[in-house]
Amino acid sequence: MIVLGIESSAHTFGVGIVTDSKESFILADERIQYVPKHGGIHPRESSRFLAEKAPAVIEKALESASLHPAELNAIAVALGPGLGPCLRVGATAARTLALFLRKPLVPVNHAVAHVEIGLKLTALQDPVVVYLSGGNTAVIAYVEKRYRVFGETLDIALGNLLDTFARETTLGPPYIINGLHVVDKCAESGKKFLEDFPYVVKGQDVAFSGLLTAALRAYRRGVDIHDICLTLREIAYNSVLEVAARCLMHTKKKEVMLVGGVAASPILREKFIKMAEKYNALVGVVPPQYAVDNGVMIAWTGLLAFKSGVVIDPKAAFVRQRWRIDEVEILWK
Amino acid sequence: MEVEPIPLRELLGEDVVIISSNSTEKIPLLTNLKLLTMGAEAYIFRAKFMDFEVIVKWRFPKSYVPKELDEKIRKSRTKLEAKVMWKALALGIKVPIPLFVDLDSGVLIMTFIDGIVLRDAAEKINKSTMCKVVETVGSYAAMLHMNGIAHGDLTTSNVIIANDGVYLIDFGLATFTKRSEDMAIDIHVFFRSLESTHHRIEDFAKECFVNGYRQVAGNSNTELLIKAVNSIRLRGRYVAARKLRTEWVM
Repeated sequence: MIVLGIESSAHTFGVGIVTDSKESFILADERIQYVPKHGGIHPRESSRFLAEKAPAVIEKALESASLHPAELNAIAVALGPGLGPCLRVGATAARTLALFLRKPLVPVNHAVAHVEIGLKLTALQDPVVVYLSGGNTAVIAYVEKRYRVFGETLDIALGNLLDTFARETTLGPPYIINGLHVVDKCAESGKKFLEDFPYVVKGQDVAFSGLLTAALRAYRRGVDIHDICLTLREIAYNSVLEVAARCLMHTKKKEVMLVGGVAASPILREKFIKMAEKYNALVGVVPPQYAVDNGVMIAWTGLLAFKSGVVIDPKAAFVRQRWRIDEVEILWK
Repeated sequence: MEVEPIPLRELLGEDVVIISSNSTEKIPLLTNLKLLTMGAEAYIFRAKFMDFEVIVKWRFPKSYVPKELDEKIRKSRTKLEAKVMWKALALGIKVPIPLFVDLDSGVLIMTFIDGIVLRDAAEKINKSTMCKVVETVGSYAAMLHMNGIAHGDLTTSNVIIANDGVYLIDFGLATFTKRSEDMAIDIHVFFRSLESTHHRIEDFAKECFVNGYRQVAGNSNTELLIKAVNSIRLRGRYVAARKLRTEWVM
Protein backbone atom coordinates (compact mmCIF):
# COMPACT_ATOMS: atom_id res chain seq x y z
CA MET A 1 0.00 0.00 0.00
CA ILE A 2 1.28 3.44 -0.93
CA VAL A 3 0.00 6.68 0.62
CA LEU A 4 0.86 10.28 -0.15
CA GLY A 5 0.61 12.71 2.76
CA ILE A 6 0.41 16.48 2.79
CA GLU A 7 1.39 18.69 5.73
CA SER A 8 0.85 22.46 5.83
CA SER A 9 -0.11 23.35 9.40
CA ALA A 10 2.27 26.26 9.94
CA HIS A 11 5.41 27.16 8.04
CA THR A 12 6.18 23.91 6.25
CA PHE A 13 4.61 22.49 3.14
CA GLY A 14 5.67 18.86 3.22
CA VAL A 15 4.79 15.98 0.96
CA GLY A 16 5.71 12.45 1.98
CA ILE A 17 5.08 9.15 0.26
CA VAL A 18 5.28 5.96 2.30
CA THR A 19 4.69 2.28 1.81
CA ASP A 20 4.05 -0.55 4.25
CA SER A 21 5.57 -3.24 2.10
CA LYS A 22 9.25 -2.46 2.36
CA GLU A 23 11.91 -2.12 5.04
CA SER A 24 12.65 1.47 4.02
CA PHE A 25 9.15 2.80 4.24
CA ILE A 26 9.85 6.33 3.04
CA LEU A 27 9.59 6.64 -0.73
CA ALA A 28 9.64 10.41 -0.88
CA ASP A 29 10.12 13.28 1.54
CA GLU A 30 9.90 16.75 0.06
CA ARG A 31 9.36 19.95 1.98
CA ILE A 32 9.66 23.65 1.75
CA GLN A 33 9.70 26.05 4.65
CA TYR A 34 8.50 29.62 4.99
CA VAL A 35 11.10 31.70 6.85
CA PRO A 36 9.83 35.13 7.89
CA LYS A 37 12.20 38.02 7.28
CA HIS A 38 11.44 39.35 10.74
CA GLY A 39 9.05 38.55 13.55
CA GLY A 40 7.09 35.34 13.84
CA ILE A 41 5.05 33.40 11.31
CA HIS A 42 2.31 35.58 9.87
CA PRO A 43 -0.46 33.13 8.87
CA ARG A 44 -1.41 35.04 5.73
CA GLU A 45 2.15 35.49 4.51
CA SER A 46 2.98 31.87 5.29
CA SER A 47 -0.11 30.54 3.50
CA ARG A 48 0.64 32.63 0.41
CA PHE A 49 4.13 31.23 0.31
CA LEU A 50 2.88 27.67 0.78
CA ALA A 51 0.21 28.05 -1.92
CA GLU A 52 2.82 29.28 -4.36
CA LYS A 53 5.18 26.35 -3.75
CA ALA A 54 2.68 23.54 -3.21
CA PRO A 55 2.34 22.21 -6.79
CA ALA A 56 6.10 22.02 -7.29
CA VAL A 57 6.62 20.16 -3.99
CA ILE A 58 3.95 17.57 -4.84
CA GLU A 59 5.41 17.08 -8.28
CA LYS A 60 8.91 16.69 -6.88
CA ALA A 61 7.75 14.09 -4.37
CA LEU A 62 6.13 11.94 -7.04
CA GLU A 63 9.25 12.31 -9.14
CA SER A 64 11.69 11.32 -6.42
CA ALA A 65 9.57 8.28 -5.57
CA SER A 66 9.42 7.58 -9.33
CA LEU A 67 5.72 6.89 -9.03
CA HIS A 68 2.82 7.51 -11.31
CA PRO A 69 -0.06 9.15 -9.38
CA ALA A 70 -2.25 6.18 -10.32
CA GLU A 71 -0.06 3.93 -8.18
CA LEU A 72 -1.09 5.74 -4.98
CA ASN A 73 -3.69 4.02 -2.78
CA ALA A 74 -4.79 7.07 -0.85
CA ILE A 75 -4.14 10.75 -0.18
CA ALA A 76 -3.65 11.77 3.46
CA VAL A 77 -3.80 15.32 4.71
CA ALA A 78 -3.25 17.13 8.00
CA LEU A 79 -6.57 18.89 8.65
CA GLY A 80 -5.49 20.29 12.01
CA PRO A 81 -4.50 21.54 14.47
CA GLY A 82 -2.65 24.54 13.10
CA LEU A 83 -2.96 27.92 11.45
CA GLY A 84 -6.18 28.09 9.45
CA PRO A 85 -4.95 29.79 6.28
CA CYS A 86 -1.96 27.44 6.09
CA LEU A 87 -4.00 24.28 6.75
CA ARG A 88 -6.37 25.30 3.96
CA VAL A 89 -3.54 25.24 1.42
CA GLY A 90 -2.78 21.58 2.17
CA ALA A 91 -6.46 20.69 2.41
CA THR A 92 -7.24 22.27 -0.94
CA ALA A 93 -4.32 20.48 -2.59
CA ALA A 94 -5.31 17.15 -1.05
CA ARG A 95 -9.00 17.44 -1.92
CA THR A 96 -8.10 18.30 -5.49
CA LEU A 97 -5.69 15.39 -5.79
CA ALA A 98 -8.19 12.97 -4.28
CA LEU A 99 -11.01 14.06 -6.56
CA PHE A 100 -8.92 14.28 -9.70
CA LEU A 101 -7.14 10.97 -9.18
CA ARG A 102 -10.26 9.30 -7.74
CA LYS A 103 -8.38 8.23 -4.63
CA PRO A 104 -9.75 8.02 -1.08
CA LEU A 105 -8.95 11.00 1.15
CA VAL A 106 -7.71 10.30 4.70
CA PRO A 107 -7.90 12.96 7.44
CA VAL A 108 -4.92 13.08 9.78
CA ASN A 109 -4.44 14.91 13.06
CA HIS A 110 -1.09 16.69 12.99
CA ALA A 111 -0.31 15.90 16.63
CA VAL A 112 -1.18 12.21 16.25
CA ALA A 113 1.13 12.16 13.23
CA HIS A 114 4.03 13.51 15.31
CA VAL A 115 3.49 10.66 17.77
CA GLU A 116 3.04 7.93 15.15
CA ILE A 117 6.14 8.80 13.14
CA GLY A 118 8.05 8.90 16.42
CA LEU A 119 6.86 5.41 17.36
CA LYS A 120 7.81 4.12 13.92
CA LEU A 121 11.31 5.63 14.01
CA THR A 122 12.23 5.04 17.65
CA ALA A 123 10.69 1.56 17.81
CA LEU A 124 9.32 2.32 21.26
CA GLN A 125 6.23 0.34 22.26
CA ASP A 126 4.18 2.41 24.66
CA PRO A 127 5.97 5.56 25.74
CA VAL A 128 5.06 8.70 27.59
CA VAL A 129 5.19 11.21 24.75
CA VAL A 130 6.66 14.62 25.40
CA TYR A 131 5.54 16.84 22.55
CA LEU A 132 7.48 20.08 22.49
CA SER A 133 7.27 22.54 19.65
CA GLY A 134 6.65 26.18 18.87
CA GLY A 135 2.94 25.76 19.35
CA ASN A 136 2.69 22.76 21.67
CA THR A 137 3.92 21.64 25.06
CA ALA A 138 2.16 18.50 26.13
CA VAL A 139 2.81 15.26 27.94
CA ILE A 140 0.75 12.53 26.31
CA ALA A 141 0.22 8.84 26.92
CA TYR A 142 -1.81 6.19 25.13
CA VAL A 143 -4.68 4.85 27.24
CA GLU A 144 -7.55 2.88 25.76
CA LYS A 145 -7.85 3.94 22.14
CA ARG A 146 -6.72 7.51 22.61
CA TYR A 147 -3.61 9.55 23.10
CA ARG A 148 -4.60 11.27 26.29
CA VAL A 149 -3.15 14.54 27.47
CA PHE A 150 -1.73 14.18 30.96
CA GLY A 151 -0.30 17.65 31.19
CA GLU A 152 0.11 20.63 28.96
CA THR A 153 0.94 24.29 29.05
CA LEU A 154 -1.79 26.50 30.41
CA ASP A 155 -0.56 29.46 28.39
CA ILE A 156 2.32 29.63 25.89
CA ALA A 157 4.33 26.73 24.48
CA LEU A 158 7.98 26.04 25.28
CA GLY A 159 9.13 26.85 21.73
CA ASN A 160 7.08 30.00 21.81
CA LEU A 161 8.72 31.01 25.11
CA LEU A 162 12.24 30.55 23.76
CA ASP A 163 11.53 32.20 20.40
CA THR A 164 9.69 35.17 21.86
CA PHE A 165 12.43 35.78 24.38
CA ALA A 166 15.04 35.57 21.62
CA ARG A 167 13.07 37.94 19.42
CA GLU A 168 12.47 40.53 22.14
CA THR A 169 16.13 40.51 23.13
CA THR A 170 17.35 40.49 19.49
CA LEU A 171 19.13 37.15 19.95
CA GLY A 172 17.09 35.90 16.98
CA PRO A 173 15.83 35.24 14.36
CA PRO A 174 17.20 32.90 13.19
CA TYR A 175 16.33 30.96 16.32
CA ILE A 176 18.32 27.84 15.58
CA ILE A 177 22.01 28.08 14.69
CA ASN A 178 23.88 24.82 13.98
CA GLY A 179 21.13 22.79 15.61
CA LEU A 180 21.29 24.81 18.82
CA HIS A 181 18.63 27.29 19.91
CA VAL A 182 20.04 30.79 20.40
CA VAL A 183 18.77 30.81 23.99
CA ASP A 184 20.65 27.54 24.67
CA LYS A 185 23.74 29.08 23.10
CA CYS A 186 23.40 32.28 25.12
CA ALA A 187 22.94 30.25 28.32
CA GLU A 188 26.31 28.57 27.84
CA SER A 189 28.13 31.62 29.21
CA GLY A 190 25.60 32.17 31.99
CA LYS A 191 27.11 31.86 35.47
CA LYS A 192 24.67 33.07 38.02
CA PHE A 193 21.27 31.70 38.79
CA LEU A 194 18.77 34.52 39.10
CA GLU A 195 16.33 34.76 41.99
CA ASP A 196 12.62 35.31 41.73
CA PHE A 197 11.89 33.78 38.37
CA PRO A 198 8.60 31.91 38.69
CA TYR A 199 8.76 28.14 38.47
CA VAL A 200 5.21 27.11 37.67
CA VAL A 201 4.18 23.47 37.80
CA LYS A 202 0.57 22.84 38.71
CA GLY A 203 -0.01 19.15 39.09
CA GLN A 204 0.82 17.95 35.62
CA ASP A 205 0.48 21.29 33.90
CA VAL A 206 3.08 23.97 33.27
CA ALA A 207 2.82 27.68 32.54
CA PHE A 208 5.49 29.86 30.98
CA SER A 209 4.06 33.34 30.46
CA GLY A 210 5.09 34.55 33.91
CA LEU A 211 8.59 33.27 33.32
CA LEU A 212 8.76 35.12 30.01
CA THR A 213 7.61 38.35 31.65
CA ALA A 214 10.14 37.98 34.47
CA ALA A 215 12.93 37.30 31.99
CA LEU A 216 12.07 40.28 29.80
CA ARG A 217 11.80 42.55 32.85
CA ALA A 218 15.23 41.45 34.01
CA TYR A 219 16.58 42.09 30.52
CA ARG A 220 15.17 45.61 30.51
CA ARG A 221 16.67 46.23 33.95
CA GLY A 222 20.04 45.49 32.41
CA VAL A 223 20.74 42.13 34.06
CA ASP A 224 23.38 40.08 32.22
CA ILE A 225 21.56 38.38 29.36
CA HIS A 226 23.56 35.16 29.72
CA ASP A 227 22.39 34.73 33.29
CA ILE A 228 18.82 35.38 32.17
CA CYS A 229 19.11 32.80 29.38
CA LEU A 230 20.52 30.24 31.82
CA THR A 231 17.80 30.79 34.41
CA LEU A 232 15.02 30.91 31.85
CA ARG A 233 16.16 27.76 30.12
CA GLU A 234 16.79 25.73 33.26
CA ILE A 235 13.44 26.63 34.79
CA ALA A 236 11.56 25.99 31.56
CA TYR A 237 13.26 22.67 30.76
CA ASN A 238 13.12 21.45 34.32
CA SER A 239 9.43 22.10 34.68
CA VAL A 240 8.78 20.02 31.56
CA LEU A 241 11.04 17.27 32.92
CA GLU A 242 9.17 17.30 36.19
CA VAL A 243 5.82 16.93 34.46
CA ALA A 244 7.18 14.10 32.33
CA ALA A 245 8.53 12.35 35.43
CA ARG A 246 5.17 12.76 37.09
CA CYS A 247 3.44 11.20 34.09
CA LEU A 248 5.92 8.30 34.06
CA MET A 249 5.10 7.61 37.69
CA HIS A 250 1.37 8.07 37.21
CA THR A 251 1.01 5.81 34.17
CA LYS A 252 3.78 3.38 35.22
CA LYS A 253 5.09 3.36 31.65
CA LYS A 254 8.73 2.55 31.03
CA GLU A 255 9.54 4.63 27.97
CA VAL A 256 9.77 8.32 27.13
CA MET A 257 9.65 9.73 23.63
CA LEU A 258 10.57 13.26 22.64
CA VAL A 259 8.85 14.72 19.59
CA GLY A 260 8.33 18.13 18.05
CA GLY A 261 10.70 20.89 16.99
CA VAL A 262 12.10 21.67 20.45
CA ALA A 263 12.93 17.99 20.98
CA ALA A 264 15.88 18.61 18.67
CA SER A 265 17.64 20.54 21.49
CA PRO A 266 20.71 18.50 22.50
CA ILE A 267 20.66 20.03 25.98
CA LEU A 268 17.07 19.02 26.60
CA ARG A 269 17.78 15.55 25.25
CA GLU A 270 20.70 15.06 27.61
CA LYS A 271 18.55 16.10 30.56
CA PHE A 272 15.86 13.64 29.53
CA ILE A 273 18.36 10.81 29.26
CA LYS A 274 19.64 11.55 32.77
CA MET A 275 16.12 11.77 34.12
CA ALA A 276 14.99 8.54 32.48
CA GLU A 277 18.03 6.71 33.85
CA LYS A 278 16.88 7.64 37.33
CA TYR A 279 13.43 6.20 36.58
CA ASN A 280 14.67 3.09 34.80
CA ALA A 281 12.99 4.22 31.61
CA LEU A 282 14.14 4.17 28.02
CA VAL A 283 14.39 7.39 26.06
CA GLY A 284 13.65 7.62 22.38
CA VAL A 285 14.34 10.81 20.53
CA VAL A 286 12.78 11.29 17.13
CA PRO A 287 15.54 12.24 14.65
CA PRO A 288 15.44 16.05 14.18
CA GLN A 289 14.54 15.68 10.51
CA TYR A 290 11.29 13.96 11.44
CA ALA A 291 10.74 15.70 14.78
CA VAL A 292 9.84 18.89 12.91
CA ASP A 293 6.80 19.24 10.65
CA ASN A 294 7.01 17.01 7.58
CA GLY A 295 4.87 15.19 5.05
CA VAL A 296 6.17 11.71 5.86
CA MET A 297 4.50 11.67 9.27
CA ILE A 298 1.17 12.58 7.70
CA ALA A 299 1.55 9.92 5.03
CA TRP A 300 2.53 7.26 7.60
CA THR A 301 -0.35 8.07 9.94
CA GLY A 302 -2.65 8.28 6.95
CA LEU A 303 -1.56 4.80 5.96
CA LEU A 304 -2.29 3.40 9.43
CA ALA A 305 -5.66 5.14 9.52
CA PHE A 306 -6.58 4.11 5.97
CA LYS A 307 -5.88 0.47 6.80
CA SER A 308 -8.33 0.78 9.70
CA GLY A 309 -10.93 2.20 7.33
CA VAL A 310 -10.65 5.91 8.06
CA VAL A 311 -11.64 8.00 5.03
CA ILE A 312 -13.40 11.31 4.59
CA ASP A 313 -15.62 12.68 1.85
CA PRO A 314 -13.67 15.56 0.20
CA LYS A 315 -16.83 17.66 0.52
CA ALA A 316 -16.63 17.31 4.29
CA ALA A 317 -12.87 17.62 4.60
CA PHE A 318 -12.74 21.00 6.30
CA VAL A 319 -9.74 22.10 8.28
CA ARG A 320 -9.99 22.04 12.07
CA GLN A 321 -7.71 24.62 13.62
CA ARG A 322 -8.44 23.33 17.10
CA TRP A 323 -8.41 19.58 16.81
CA ARG A 324 -7.08 18.20 20.05
CA ILE A 325 -5.03 15.03 19.97
CA ASP A 326 -7.34 13.39 22.52
CA GLU A 327 -10.36 13.79 20.23
CA VAL A 328 -8.98 11.25 17.77
CA GLU A 329 -9.90 7.62 18.23
CA ILE A 330 -6.85 5.49 17.52
CA LEU A 331 -8.34 2.57 15.61
CA TRP A 332 -5.08 0.93 14.64
CA LYS A 333 -3.93 0.03 18.15
CA MET B 1 17.14 0.47 41.37
CA GLU B 2 20.24 1.61 43.23
CA VAL B 3 19.51 4.14 45.94
CA GLU B 4 22.08 6.11 47.87
CA PRO B 5 20.10 7.68 50.68
CA ILE B 6 23.02 9.56 52.18
CA PRO B 7 21.08 11.86 54.52
CA LEU B 8 19.05 8.87 55.67
CA ARG B 9 22.14 6.86 56.48
CA GLU B 10 23.07 9.52 59.03
CA LEU B 11 19.64 9.32 60.60
CA LEU B 12 19.88 5.54 60.68
CA GLY B 13 22.94 5.81 62.88
CA GLU B 14 21.29 7.94 65.55
CA ASP B 15 19.87 6.86 68.86
CA VAL B 16 17.23 8.36 71.07
CA VAL B 17 17.47 8.19 74.84
CA ILE B 18 14.16 7.97 76.61
CA ILE B 19 14.35 8.90 80.25
CA SER B 20 11.44 8.16 82.52
CA SER B 21 11.16 8.27 86.30
CA ASN B 22 12.34 4.73 86.86
CA SER B 23 14.44 3.83 83.84
CA THR B 24 16.55 5.03 80.96
CA GLU B 25 16.08 3.42 77.59
CA LYS B 26 18.07 3.85 74.43
CA ILE B 27 16.30 3.15 71.13
CA PRO B 28 17.40 3.71 67.56
CA LEU B 29 15.85 6.72 65.83
CA LEU B 30 15.18 5.13 62.49
CA THR B 31 15.09 1.44 61.58
CA ASN B 32 13.72 -0.96 58.96
CA LEU B 33 14.22 1.45 56.07
CA LYS B 34 12.65 -0.07 52.97
CA LEU B 35 12.19 1.59 49.61
CA LEU B 36 8.51 1.56 48.68
CA THR B 37 8.39 3.54 45.51
CA MET B 38 9.85 6.40 43.67
CA GLY B 39 7.63 9.41 43.27
CA ALA B 40 8.03 12.04 40.62
CA GLU B 41 10.55 13.94 42.71
CA ALA B 42 11.25 11.88 45.78
CA TYR B 43 12.00 8.41 47.08
CA ILE B 44 9.32 7.10 49.36
CA PHE B 45 10.51 4.72 52.09
CA ARG B 46 8.67 2.78 54.68
CA ALA B 47 10.42 2.74 58.06
CA LYS B 48 10.15 2.69 61.81
CA PHE B 49 10.77 6.05 63.47
CA MET B 50 11.19 5.40 67.18
CA ASP B 51 7.93 3.55 67.76
CA PHE B 52 5.95 4.87 64.81
CA GLU B 53 5.31 3.23 61.48
CA VAL B 54 6.33 6.00 59.11
CA ILE B 55 6.81 7.10 55.56
CA VAL B 56 10.11 8.78 54.82
CA LYS B 57 10.02 11.10 51.87
CA TRP B 58 13.40 12.10 50.56
CA ARG B 59 13.55 14.64 47.76
CA PHE B 60 16.67 13.43 46.02
CA PRO B 61 19.11 15.74 44.22
CA LYS B 62 18.56 15.64 40.48
CA SER B 63 21.59 15.45 38.29
CA TYR B 64 19.78 17.11 35.39
CA VAL B 65 18.90 20.25 37.31
CA PRO B 66 21.49 22.92 38.24
CA LYS B 67 22.43 22.54 41.90
CA GLU B 68 21.19 25.96 42.99
CA LEU B 69 17.76 25.57 41.46
CA ASP B 70 17.48 21.99 42.66
CA GLU B 71 18.36 22.87 46.27
CA LYS B 72 16.03 25.82 46.28
CA ILE B 73 13.10 23.79 45.01
CA ARG B 74 13.72 20.83 47.31
CA LYS B 75 14.11 22.97 50.41
CA SER B 76 11.09 25.17 49.82
CA ARG B 77 8.82 22.30 48.90
CA THR B 78 9.81 20.21 51.92
CA LYS B 79 9.22 23.14 54.25
CA LEU B 80 5.91 24.09 52.71
CA GLU B 81 4.72 20.51 52.63
CA ALA B 82 5.18 20.08 56.37
CA LYS B 83 3.53 23.43 57.11
CA VAL B 84 0.52 22.72 54.95
CA MET B 85 0.08 19.29 56.50
CA TRP B 86 -0.03 20.77 59.99
CA LYS B 87 -2.58 23.29 58.86
CA ALA B 88 -4.68 20.58 57.22
CA LEU B 89 -4.55 18.51 60.40
CA ALA B 90 -5.72 21.52 62.38
CA LEU B 91 -8.68 21.79 60.01
CA GLY B 92 -9.66 18.21 60.75
CA ILE B 93 -8.67 16.79 57.40
CA LYS B 94 -7.21 13.30 57.45
CA VAL B 95 -3.59 13.58 56.34
CA PRO B 96 -0.37 11.93 57.52
CA ILE B 97 1.17 13.62 60.59
CA PRO B 98 4.60 15.12 59.91
CA LEU B 99 7.05 13.98 62.60
CA PHE B 100 10.47 15.11 61.45
CA VAL B 101 11.83 17.59 58.92
CA ASP B 102 15.37 18.14 57.66
CA LEU B 103 15.26 20.98 55.17
CA ASP B 104 18.87 20.87 54.03
CA SER B 105 18.67 17.29 52.90
CA GLY B 106 15.00 17.42 51.89
CA VAL B 107 13.82 14.72 54.30
CA LEU B 108 10.28 14.63 55.66
CA ILE B 109 9.09 11.86 57.95
CA MET B 110 5.37 11.35 58.47
CA THR B 111 3.02 8.71 59.82
CA PHE B 112 2.26 5.74 57.61
CA ILE B 113 -1.29 5.38 56.31
CA ASP B 114 -2.37 1.80 55.76
CA GLY B 115 -4.81 1.57 52.85
CA ILE B 116 -5.20 1.50 49.11
CA VAL B 117 -4.67 4.30 46.64
CA LEU B 118 -7.86 5.55 45.00
CA ARG B 119 -6.26 5.28 41.58
CA ASP B 120 -5.96 1.49 41.99
CA ALA B 121 -9.18 1.08 43.91
CA ALA B 122 -11.39 3.03 41.51
CA GLU B 123 -12.01 0.10 39.20
CA LYS B 124 -12.60 -2.37 42.03
CA ILE B 125 -14.92 -0.70 44.50
CA ASN B 126 -18.63 -0.30 43.82
CA LYS B 127 -20.18 2.88 42.56
CA SER B 128 -21.68 4.11 45.81
CA THR B 129 -18.42 3.63 47.73
CA MET B 130 -16.55 5.38 44.96
CA CYS B 131 -19.02 8.25 45.16
CA LYS B 132 -18.60 8.51 48.95
CA VAL B 133 -14.82 8.58 48.66
CA VAL B 134 -14.79 11.20 45.94
CA GLU B 135 -17.36 13.22 47.86
CA THR B 136 -15.04 13.22 50.87
CA VAL B 137 -12.17 14.34 48.64
CA GLY B 138 -14.44 17.15 47.44
CA SER B 139 -15.21 18.23 50.97
CA TYR B 140 -11.51 18.12 51.92
CA ALA B 141 -10.68 20.24 48.91
CA ALA B 142 -13.33 22.76 49.89
CA MET B 143 -12.03 22.89 53.48
CA LEU B 144 -8.50 23.51 52.27
CA HIS B 145 -9.68 26.14 49.82
CA MET B 146 -11.83 27.96 52.38
CA ASN B 147 -8.68 28.22 54.48
CA GLY B 148 -6.39 29.50 51.80
CA ILE B 149 -4.62 26.29 50.81
CA ALA B 150 -4.37 24.78 47.35
CA HIS B 151 -3.24 21.15 47.24
CA GLY B 152 -1.44 21.60 43.93
CA ASP B 153 -1.52 17.96 42.84
CA LEU B 154 -4.98 16.70 43.61
CA THR B 155 -5.15 13.43 41.64
CA THR B 156 -6.57 10.00 42.32
CA SER B 157 -3.00 8.85 43.00
CA ASN B 158 -2.92 11.10 46.05
CA VAL B 159 -5.98 9.78 47.85
CA ILE B 160 -5.71 6.78 50.17
CA ILE B 161 -8.70 4.79 51.34
CA ALA B 162 -7.91 3.45 54.81
CA ASN B 163 -10.01 1.61 57.36
CA ASP B 164 -10.64 4.75 59.36
CA GLY B 165 -11.46 6.99 56.43
CA VAL B 166 -10.19 8.75 53.37
CA TYR B 167 -6.75 10.33 53.54
CA LEU B 168 -5.22 13.03 51.40
CA ILE B 169 -1.50 12.67 50.78
CA ASP B 170 1.38 14.33 48.97
CA PHE B 171 1.24 18.02 49.74
CA GLY B 172 4.51 18.50 47.89
CA LEU B 173 3.07 21.07 45.52
CA ALA B 174 0.68 22.70 47.99
CA THR B 175 0.67 26.44 48.47
CA PHE B 176 -0.87 29.01 50.74
CA THR B 177 -2.85 31.17 48.40
CA LYS B 178 -5.86 33.41 48.24
CA ARG B 179 -6.33 33.24 44.46
CA SER B 180 -9.45 31.43 43.30
CA GLU B 181 -7.44 30.53 40.21
CA ASP B 182 -5.24 28.18 42.26
CA MET B 183 -8.30 26.56 43.80
CA ALA B 184 -9.84 26.09 40.38
CA ILE B 185 -6.65 24.46 39.14
CA ASP B 186 -6.91 21.92 41.96
CA ILE B 187 -10.30 20.89 40.68
CA HIS B 188 -9.19 20.99 37.07
CA VAL B 189 -6.29 18.68 37.91
CA PHE B 190 -8.52 16.29 39.83
CA PHE B 191 -11.08 16.19 37.02
CA ARG B 192 -8.36 15.53 34.53
CA SER B 193 -6.97 12.65 36.54
CA LEU B 194 -10.48 11.18 36.48
CA GLU B 195 -10.75 11.71 32.73
CA SER B 196 -7.37 10.32 31.84
CA THR B 197 -7.32 7.30 34.14
CA HIS B 198 -10.92 6.54 35.03
CA HIS B 199 -12.89 7.85 32.07
CA ARG B 200 -15.55 5.16 32.41
CA ILE B 201 -16.85 6.71 35.61
CA GLU B 202 -15.67 10.25 35.01
CA ASP B 203 -19.03 12.08 34.82
CA PHE B 204 -20.44 10.23 37.80
CA ALA B 205 -17.35 10.82 39.91
CA LYS B 206 -17.22 14.51 39.02
CA GLU B 207 -20.77 14.96 40.24
CA CYS B 208 -19.93 13.29 43.56
CA PHE B 209 -16.89 15.53 43.94
CA VAL B 210 -18.89 18.68 43.33
CA ASN B 211 -21.54 17.52 45.81
CA GLY B 212 -18.94 17.07 48.52
CA TYR B 213 -17.42 20.42 47.68
CA ARG B 214 -20.78 22.16 47.75
CA GLN B 215 -21.61 20.82 51.22
CA VAL B 216 -18.63 22.65 52.68
CA ALA B 217 -18.20 25.66 50.44
CA GLY B 218 -21.84 26.46 49.76
CA ASN B 219 -23.66 26.95 46.49
CA SER B 220 -22.42 30.33 45.35
CA ASN B 221 -18.73 29.60 46.03
CA THR B 222 -19.01 26.31 44.20
CA GLU B 223 -20.73 27.81 41.16
CA LEU B 224 -18.08 30.51 40.90
CA LEU B 225 -15.33 27.97 41.14
CA ILE B 226 -16.83 25.67 38.51
CA LYS B 227 -16.95 28.67 36.19
CA ALA B 228 -13.27 29.30 36.83
CA VAL B 229 -12.51 25.61 36.17
CA ASN B 230 -14.25 25.81 32.80
CA SER B 231 -12.33 28.90 31.85
CA ILE B 232 -9.04 27.19 32.72
CA ARG B 233 -10.05 24.22 30.63
CA LEU B 234 -10.66 26.49 27.65
CA ARG B 235 -7.09 27.72 27.90
CA GLY B 236 -5.71 24.35 26.81
CA ARG B 237 -4.40 23.97 23.31
CA TYR B 238 -6.91 23.93 20.46
CA VAL B 239 -10.05 23.69 22.55
CA ALA B 240 -12.89 23.68 20.04
CA ALA B 241 -15.28 25.46 22.38
CA ARG B 242 -12.97 28.45 22.51
CA LYS B 243 -13.93 31.03 19.94
CA LEU B 244 -11.76 33.62 18.30
CA ARG B 245 -9.59 35.71 20.57
CA THR B 246 -11.74 38.79 19.96
CA GLU B 247 -14.69 37.02 21.51
CA TRP B 248 -13.01 36.28 24.80
CA VAL B 249 -15.00 37.65 27.66
CA MET B 250 -13.19 38.03 30.92
